[in-house]
Amino acid sequence: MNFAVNFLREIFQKNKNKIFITCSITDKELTYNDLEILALKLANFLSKKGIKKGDKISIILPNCIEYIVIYFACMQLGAIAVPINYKLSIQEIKKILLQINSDFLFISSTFKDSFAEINSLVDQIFYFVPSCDFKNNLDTNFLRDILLEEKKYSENSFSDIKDLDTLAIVFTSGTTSMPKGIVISYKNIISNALAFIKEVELTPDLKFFNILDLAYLGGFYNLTLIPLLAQGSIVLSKTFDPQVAIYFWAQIIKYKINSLWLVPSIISILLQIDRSDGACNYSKKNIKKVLVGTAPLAKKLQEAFEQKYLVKLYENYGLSETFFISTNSYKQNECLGVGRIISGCEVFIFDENKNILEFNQVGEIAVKSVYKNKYFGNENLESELFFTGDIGYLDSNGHLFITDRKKDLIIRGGINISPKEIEDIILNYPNIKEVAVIGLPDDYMGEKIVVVINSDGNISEFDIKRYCKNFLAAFKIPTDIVFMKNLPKSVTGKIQKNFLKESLLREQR
Amino acid sequence: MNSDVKNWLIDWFVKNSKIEKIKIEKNLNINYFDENWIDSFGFISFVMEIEKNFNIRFSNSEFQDREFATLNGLEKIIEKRVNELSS
Repeated sequence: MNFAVNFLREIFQKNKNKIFITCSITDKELTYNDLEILALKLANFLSKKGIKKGDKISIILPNCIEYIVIYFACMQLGAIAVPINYKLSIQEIKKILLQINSDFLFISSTFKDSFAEINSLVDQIFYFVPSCDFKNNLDTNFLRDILLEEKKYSENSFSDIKDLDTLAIVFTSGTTSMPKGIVISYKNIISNALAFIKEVELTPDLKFFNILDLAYLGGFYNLTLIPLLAQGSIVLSKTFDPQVAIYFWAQIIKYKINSLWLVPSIISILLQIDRSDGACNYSKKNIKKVLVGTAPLAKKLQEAFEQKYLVKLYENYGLSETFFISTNSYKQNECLGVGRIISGCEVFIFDENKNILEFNQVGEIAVKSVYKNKYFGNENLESELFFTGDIGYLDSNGHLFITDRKKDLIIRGGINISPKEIEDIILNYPNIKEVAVIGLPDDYMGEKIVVVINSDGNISEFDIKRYCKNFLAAFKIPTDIVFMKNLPKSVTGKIQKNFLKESLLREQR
Repeated sequence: MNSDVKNWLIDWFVKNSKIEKIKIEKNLNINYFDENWIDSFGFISFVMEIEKNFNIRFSNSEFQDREFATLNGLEKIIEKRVNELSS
């Protein structure tokens, strides 16, 4: 028997009657045992549809209990979960489905008309109303049906998986216009999680508030799998949006949540929206852990949150390609930069000529990690060392600090956005001669998307934004449009985004 | 006849969302959060711009008021606050 199976079985066995998920939308609760049985029954349902080990199951759903059950059903069957953010545009979803060649798709009935174009791209499509979208009693309860109808099912949990099998393929924006699929193995994700849990001292009494999208690692790995492996529990919410922001602390208090995992943009929004002092009384007495990741946390923001809620924020650092690389440690009770390197990872700082730098010298961060994942469709082109594209340094005590980013990527609200993808779309608009998309600092979202356009035509900011809305998800729509005749270029004619960025920042000041 | 506040709110959504003006005007009583007219990225800008333009500051209870989620309701909340300021 292998490590992943052993570990998962032990967790479910030890915590049979403990509530693992409470859904804040429906108030439904699932114990560890409920989740295991539902996943086994759903695996049986899929098996009857011809789905077998290694097949790809795509998921296009909002956050809901069913989403988590589908992830675990894939694990029971040895099938590969391919979560896709339902907020992406139809063109973006098609790009992923065309790459992945899915065998089965679970999708919310809400998208039946708007996503009709994808019907020909997947072998079998299963539309259903997720419980979070129930409007009336006539809505079919998919989970209840599975529970009632799947009478025979294997009682041998996780029997079909091996350590090196693929658990999921998660798509993220890279520096190109094509989304990159990260292939996640059981061994990598579980061993990285255990190293992280040990460093941050996550314990079974912790109850996390899951407000991140289950289509990404933030929602699935950080806020579902890690709490499960720590034998804790989660309160599942819909993905963070204005209403979640407005009721954030009310929900924390209602469900007696004691642990948070936030991203800088959410911290910023919460600080703007919460205008009373009431939450502080709860947080200072009850909140045991506040972890922060996915994007750099500004010192000012950290201090403002810590002062308002009387809690300490522990920042960590990781990438989809490597999982967690470093974290500040509750064990050491210290918070410096993005913390110390976790076991299984080694970090090196390189100069432009690929020489290794000494402590406190700033250069590109590269990581050698036993948890490193592969890219889908590009699995043989991996070197041992992964260059992160982030700039930073290590101090002599082993703390890692991030100071800048080298790769052409915008991180807005913790989500990676490819400038190239936006540039390619805008270049198709009539009379555009040149375009450069850059990220500039934004108080709320970390970075804003600024488009610099050289055009001969009579084009307005409104025209460009409206055009982009036809092709891009809402979170990728440019924030500001700047018209400029002479974009700075190198001798080879390449637009120098660094100069452009500096010049726009000077104008902002 | 639309009030200045209502026109301002409609214009904001025309400029900052995918929704056509005619659809906005026909749906002044629907929950614009549920209809995904606005996301958390836009919400803060929306709040800040209302507060700056009308020189008010919303409270937690106003955010949590059901009226806040419809344009007609939000218009009432803003007008009430503006009137309090001027009286």
